[in-house]
Amino acid sequence: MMLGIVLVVFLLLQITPGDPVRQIVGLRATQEQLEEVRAEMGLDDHVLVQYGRYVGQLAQGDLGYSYKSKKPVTSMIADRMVVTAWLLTAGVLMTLLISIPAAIAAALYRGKAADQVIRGAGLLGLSMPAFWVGVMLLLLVALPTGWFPPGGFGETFGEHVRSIFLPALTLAIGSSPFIIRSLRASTISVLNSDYVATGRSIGGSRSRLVRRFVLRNAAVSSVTVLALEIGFLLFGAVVIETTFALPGLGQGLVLAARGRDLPAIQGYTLLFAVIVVAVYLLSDIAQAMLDPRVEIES
Amino acid sequence: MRYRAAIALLAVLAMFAAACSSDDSGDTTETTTAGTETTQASETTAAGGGEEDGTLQVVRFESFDGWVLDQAAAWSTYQSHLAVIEPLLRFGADGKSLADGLAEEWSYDPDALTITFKLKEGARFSSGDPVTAEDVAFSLDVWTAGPNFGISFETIVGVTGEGSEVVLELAYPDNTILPLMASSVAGIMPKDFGGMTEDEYYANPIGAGPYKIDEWSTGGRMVFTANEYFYDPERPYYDTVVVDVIADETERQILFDGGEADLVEYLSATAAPRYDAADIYQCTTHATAHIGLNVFNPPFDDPEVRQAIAYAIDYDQVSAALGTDYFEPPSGIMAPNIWNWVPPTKPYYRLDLAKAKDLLAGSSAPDGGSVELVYDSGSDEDTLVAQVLQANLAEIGFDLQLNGLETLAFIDAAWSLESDIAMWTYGAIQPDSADPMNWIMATGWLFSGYEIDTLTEQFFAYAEAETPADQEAVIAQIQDDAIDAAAAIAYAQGSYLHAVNPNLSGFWSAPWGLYYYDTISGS
Amino acid sequence: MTASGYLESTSEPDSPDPSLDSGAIPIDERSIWRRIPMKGKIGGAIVLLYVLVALFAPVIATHDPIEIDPITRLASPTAEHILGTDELGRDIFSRIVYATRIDLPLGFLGAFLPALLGVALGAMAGYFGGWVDSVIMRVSDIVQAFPAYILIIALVFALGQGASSIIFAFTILGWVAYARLVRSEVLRVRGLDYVHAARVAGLSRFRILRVHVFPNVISQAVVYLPSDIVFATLALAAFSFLGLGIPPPTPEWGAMIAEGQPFIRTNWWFATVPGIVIVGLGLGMSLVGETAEEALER
Repeated sequence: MMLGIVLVVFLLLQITPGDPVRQIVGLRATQEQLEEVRAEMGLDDHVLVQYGRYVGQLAQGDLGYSYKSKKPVTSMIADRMVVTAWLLTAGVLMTLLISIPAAIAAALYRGKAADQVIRGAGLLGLSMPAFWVGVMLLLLVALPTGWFPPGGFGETFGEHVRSIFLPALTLAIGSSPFIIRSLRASTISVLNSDYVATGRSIGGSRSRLVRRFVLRNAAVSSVTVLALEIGFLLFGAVVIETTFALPGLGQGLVLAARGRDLPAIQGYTLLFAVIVVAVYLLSDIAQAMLDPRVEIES
Repeated sequence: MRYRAAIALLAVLAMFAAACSSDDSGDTTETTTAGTETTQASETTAAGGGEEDGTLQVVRFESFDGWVLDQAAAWSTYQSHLAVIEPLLRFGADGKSLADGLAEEWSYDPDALTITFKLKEGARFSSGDPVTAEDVAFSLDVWTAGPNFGISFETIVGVTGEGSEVVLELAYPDNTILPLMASSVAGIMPKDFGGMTEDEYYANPIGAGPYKIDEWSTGGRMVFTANEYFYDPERPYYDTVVVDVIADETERQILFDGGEADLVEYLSATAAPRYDAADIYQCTTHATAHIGLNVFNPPFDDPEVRQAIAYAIDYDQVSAALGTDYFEPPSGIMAPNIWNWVPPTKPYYRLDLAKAKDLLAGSSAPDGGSVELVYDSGSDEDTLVAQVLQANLAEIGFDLQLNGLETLAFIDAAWSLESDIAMWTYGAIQPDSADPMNWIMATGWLFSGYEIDTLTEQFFAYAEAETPADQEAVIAQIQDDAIDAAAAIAYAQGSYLHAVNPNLSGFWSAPWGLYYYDTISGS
Repeated sequence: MTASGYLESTSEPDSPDPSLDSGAIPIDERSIWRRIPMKGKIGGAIVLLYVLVALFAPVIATHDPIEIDPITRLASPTAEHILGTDELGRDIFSRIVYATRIDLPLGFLGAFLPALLGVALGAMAGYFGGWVDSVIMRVSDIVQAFPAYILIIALVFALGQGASSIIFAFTILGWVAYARLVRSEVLRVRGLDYVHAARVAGLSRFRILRVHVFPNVISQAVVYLPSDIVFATLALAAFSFLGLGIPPPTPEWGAMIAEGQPFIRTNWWFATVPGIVIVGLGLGMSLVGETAEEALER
């Protein structure tokens, strides 16, 4: 699986038009210098040889050097990782804070006004582009109140918290509808299930049952869905970091794409793919731990 | 022919709106006679404040090119070189004068073919060693060997001197050498790289400037600390200068608004309205924005078509799009407000659709046609103006295909004349009009491919002219010629901009946007 | 993550995937019309409105959308310019109207082409089985492991900016969910008696696919389309917002929001209104999608 991903990222170099050597040596270089660097980089070698070398470098944690900043891509990633980790963590927390109560309420009052409102809000949340939500939060919250900076990440812990609040909220507004929707459905099925019925028949109170079965189900279910939606969350991070000028991985990717910085794009893309695979794996494990009914496959 | 080869080399010099500076001795045998010309140090703006600790936090948009003086292409690189590897001279704030640097006095004698400098008594490298004529001689060898700017120094055939006196010996009379000594390309390095190998030196260079390097990288943070051996005991006022590269426009602005950055270098005119107008430092009008029409291919091989284009541009609209506070319709193709600059003797192009249509009707492309314009899509200004030009030229039947490219790809396309029109903005890097002349030659008449033989001759005439009036006459002629040729058409002239914390004092910038860190102090 | 992912996640683990047991519903147009709930009609009306705006853009717009007038740039709303003007003095209202001609068809194509490819590949995989199946499924595994939108950024980088690159990237990355759905459906149908009978009767494979399999699977794939159109439209706008989508001066909603963001302090409507327009289309499409989905579940 990872090899397939590496292959796709490697192929980016092959299908990208233009001469990468030209970008590296700059335009003042002579034709001889150009050839020299090309040979040095092994770009004259057979594609398979190049691929082998690329994989070898990756195995050693070498992602190459940015054309633009000439810095190692790994160090660019390291610099930006913290910001994205903050955004995703805060975003996921906020998503859970919004969606678990909303979904359980919708399930408990199925078909009633609360359910309708929550479903309607979910539909709205789904239709709003994250970047626009971000701009609107800046316009309607950050500017009038002055509580939050209009972007950036700040230097201290307190500044980080203030800086990350609106971006995380933006992310949560985009991802909550997914969670609410699936959680509502699974909560309904838990409420209808035999063991809840049994629990009720032997006299368990409704709130205890909700706590005992429903919340546990909610945790399992949201983790699963969030894990499935990690790709969506990461894209949200790309867009939101750009909107709020957060110097994270997503902003790095966009700047690299605008600046046609191929090694940086390869590095970021690979990293995002690794995150997705890792999250899938972790979610399988987490699911197994949270829910004894699920066994880890193989 | 040697000249052409040299120009070709030079021409590959690319990148961020930087003008390069060159000179060539050519095969001229003429000798001119003139009296000894002595220039006095012009007063650099006095900086307020006294000794102080603290950090000046600078934010910029572009990466650093490294410490090899010859390989500077980005504005930010010239900027950092000036702070560490100080040249013999400095430029004055007005852009038309030279000021004292490592040298306190200087004089040019065209008859004796010498330029004489008197070094400051306290001129020392950050290692503590004094600056000597030997260091200058060594530096000259390094400059001359550079593939980009090297030919600029070729008139200099030797360096002599004793004690504090340094004498440059010239092969021919050349007015352009003295101002060149104020450009970062002519930074003074210690003899034999201070005992280091070349690689060691460029990894950790020392110079005699106000700051030494504490930390640097090409794409990341740079930290400069005060050079305790700097010749001026008062300066630098800030102990530390920290420079960060922040690629995102909004992020730069937020850092500035939040007080985390004292200075944002080289704002685009489109970003300027986001800042408090009081925080904007507007340099004297100098930046010259232009298009180059590819004269090798139809329809722009026909001068009448090119002139029609020049009459079809709505210069007021262009300036309005860029913001009339910062840009105005152009006076000519030469970047203004530097040494010996004069406007053309006839008025520059203004919108005149009737004339444009008349010209076009009698030309080889009476119905216009489809042409491609390449521009640097990283520049918001160019992206806007490209759309204005597209609308303007549609009025006379030209369908402009906009092709926004990443900076390097753009320069590749512009330089190789792959498209019909290329868009760029240039400025000088030192106070002499020789600098724009060199840039124009190096870019093949501003990416148009127009012949540069005439300009080359004009350059020699300028370099050897006996009086400033003669030099100005050359510039006026170039300006007039450019109007007739209409190969490169200026569409706006304006200011380089910086955002400067109002609490700073002593900040000033030359028309081309470069400034000195060490004149800045907190209030 | 695609809309199909979103829909998949709604089928909770406890209940079997509705697409697997519902089968094809006999189509009777009149009864369907009667059975369309209110929200389906509202959604349909909204979508129809956008289609009409796109068709009659020249009539509705008050100005040429690319006609510039920098002298009156960034004007406030007036009778002349009902939503003011942008950075080049172009009429914002007219640009929003004309952008419908870009966003609507591209959003549709961005959902339809992946669906087409997915249905074709899924049908092939399911019907032919063997190595065809394993190759297609192998590739779909790799594609699915990627955060699709991130890879689209990388692909658009490699292919060059513009509508065709984006649509191409959408297509080669968005087909997986459809392929899986159709493949499982084909596998199910293939086991049915009448298909066996048809094969015994000597019908060609293609004919069997066309006559017996496609009608069964198409209706299910169609249910995914509306929500995928929402996602494609939002994603297209997002790419343009990031500066990687439709190049200027073509009017596009996402790009307009990006253009307007720097001016939210003074010209708040500039970034706000295009967003509202996107949300409107998203809501309309989502309502249609929900209706279609519920119709299939019934």
